[in-house]
Amino acid sequence: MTAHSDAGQTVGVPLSARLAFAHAALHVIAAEAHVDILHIKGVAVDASIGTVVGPGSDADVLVRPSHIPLVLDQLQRRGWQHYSDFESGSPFGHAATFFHNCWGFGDIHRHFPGIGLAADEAFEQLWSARTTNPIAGVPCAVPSLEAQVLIMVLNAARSGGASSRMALVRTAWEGTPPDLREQVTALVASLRAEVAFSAGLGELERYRGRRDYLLWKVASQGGTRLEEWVARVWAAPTPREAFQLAVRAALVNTEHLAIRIGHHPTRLEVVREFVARPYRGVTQELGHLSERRRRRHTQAS
Amino acid sequence: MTDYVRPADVAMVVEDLDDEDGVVVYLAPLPDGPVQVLNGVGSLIWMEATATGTPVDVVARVAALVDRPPETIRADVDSFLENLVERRLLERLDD
Repeated sequence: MTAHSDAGQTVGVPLSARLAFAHAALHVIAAEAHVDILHIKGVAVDASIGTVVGPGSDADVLVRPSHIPLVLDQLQRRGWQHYSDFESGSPFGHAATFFHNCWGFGDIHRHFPGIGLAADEAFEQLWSARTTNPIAGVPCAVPSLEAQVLIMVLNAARSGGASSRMALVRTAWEGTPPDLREQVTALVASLRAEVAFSAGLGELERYRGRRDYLLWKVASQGGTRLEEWVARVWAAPTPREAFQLAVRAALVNTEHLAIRIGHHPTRLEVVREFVARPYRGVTQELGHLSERRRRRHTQAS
Repeated sequence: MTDYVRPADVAMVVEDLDDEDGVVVYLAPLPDGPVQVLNGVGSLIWMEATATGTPVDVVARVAALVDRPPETIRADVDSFLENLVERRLLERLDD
């Protein structure tokens, strides 16, 4: 992103500055709509974990679930364009993405993946322990430090096999002062985030046999689209949700297709994609299988 | 002496340059933008004007930093401060 300097030059705006402005803008938008939001990840985190977390590429906020309709409405009034929906954004259906010409991408979270407690109860718990962090000189509400550490680990649990990122987080966790670790561990239990938290630290096997084990295995270690969908259906809390997910798996995600082909798909393109997906799934599955065999062969020899 | 502050609806990021070029000030009217950039003497004037939160003689402070007699820069600094106020990047508290 560029801006005009006072001397009339075009100047590049550093990523970290743009992200800070995005958070500050979201703070103002939320305040206008009387919406409770917590600024999470990236430039919003405490300096003590900032280097582990990194600046990220978008501004993430966690919104009180009952306030979601208000904030979505206000974002659109303020010129943020809807980019992807909750359902289509990720396997966890946790965030909708918006884009602003000046601030870039903003991720609006209605819950945080890995937290098992009901979204409204979890938000209330995080909100009641919130603190303030000035971002771009604007006092923004952020989760407590222990909650920020928890979110850092839960986020690493979705790194899809990026072992260096998980190693970085694990090292940071091992270096966390004992009293803070104790507070984080208590929060993990209170928010029912044990499985994902363990996945983020590379200790998922402690929870083998849990309903959401496979989901976090795929999320933390990577897997094919088929494995991802099987894991999602398996992790669904009720048979009804499992059925709804299984039906959705067969449908074409038109938002993703639009991003891939660069325009809103026509009916014909949606039909073509519907036919092509099973073939691509099988090809990906076979590729994954042969990769696993190759690795096993390399380890054996 | 005048008391200047950053307007409450303007966000600010200051980038320290690792050389003698001083700082770059990025200012963003919220929530819509766009970002405006002050560098060189412009950033120096804005920083000095908002540094203390109490009435200051901005001209004298800038003059000391650029090692020039205040009278030689007064007209330019005052005019720039006025321009910042008009652009809502600075607020004069005695307004």
